[in-house]
Amino acid sequence: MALQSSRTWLLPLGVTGLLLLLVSLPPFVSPSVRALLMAAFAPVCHQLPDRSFWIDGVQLAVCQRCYGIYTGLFLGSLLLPLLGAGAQWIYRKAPLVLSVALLPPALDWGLQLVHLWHNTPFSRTLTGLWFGLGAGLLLTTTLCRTPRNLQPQPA
Amino acid sequence: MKEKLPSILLGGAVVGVANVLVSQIPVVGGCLACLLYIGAGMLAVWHYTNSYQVTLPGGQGAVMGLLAGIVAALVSGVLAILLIQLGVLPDPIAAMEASGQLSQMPPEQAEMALRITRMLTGPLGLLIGAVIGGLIGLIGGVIGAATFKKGPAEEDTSASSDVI
Repeated sequence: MALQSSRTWLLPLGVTGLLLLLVSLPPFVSPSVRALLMAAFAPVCHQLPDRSFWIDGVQLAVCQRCYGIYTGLFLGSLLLPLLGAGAQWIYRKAPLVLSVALLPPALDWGLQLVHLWHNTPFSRTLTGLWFGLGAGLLLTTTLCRTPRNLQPQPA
Repeated sequence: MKEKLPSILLGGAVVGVANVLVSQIPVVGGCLACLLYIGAGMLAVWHYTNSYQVTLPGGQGAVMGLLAGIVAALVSGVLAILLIQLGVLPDPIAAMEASGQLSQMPPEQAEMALRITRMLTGPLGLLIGAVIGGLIGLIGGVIGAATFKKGPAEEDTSASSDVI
């Protein structure tokens, strides 16, 4: 099934690209813009300094896990043309794809909470990236590959 | 025309209130925040598809998620400001000063922390919160449209103005 239109693909790519750009900008802008960016993402991330990436002594706008999620969302949106028929499978099996995407970050976070696992910057970023990739693929395939008037197929 | 507004308001309001409550839980609080905003879009779409037994096209899920994310951010922001004014939640600036956090920071970082906190507790905070909440809610709405397929697909009217 072909893309609905190339413009449709621009929506997920634009939204995820904009989010990734905004969270990456703080080290490269003036202190007032930096404060605005940090404030913008404060309601959606704890922004703990010891759990965030720093560039030239300036903290990025979200924590390591969230940075992985935003990067994964963007990469997932970029990957759509490589999927071919796989995109329709992802749309049909959305609950499964979402569960598989959520499992690693949930384990990394939950096991740390009950002191069975000590997560690291690497594990936080990687599991965030994994979830972001799954969510990004779901986002893009749903917007671009779903026919407008199709009966849903059983999951 | 099936009514989408109640589902949008429900998704936004539930997540907005939940965000304020969850943010008060130590350790857990901030970790769930972005998932909550994705949840606002998903909840709105779930409620709608469950009520009418339909499958939403991704575009309509995106619009519902965007609006639910904006509602969630506004509910969460207004509720937090109200609770701070009523003294139920601690004033964040006073709390930062009392905890000695500011004195441990380099002056530039302390000034930045104060600026962020002031922005967050004013109208500008509500506005930028609504923009970011809306973008993240949009992602949740589309994922919800793929996840909660309940029946025949609705016609995609996301480009028209009568989507709500």
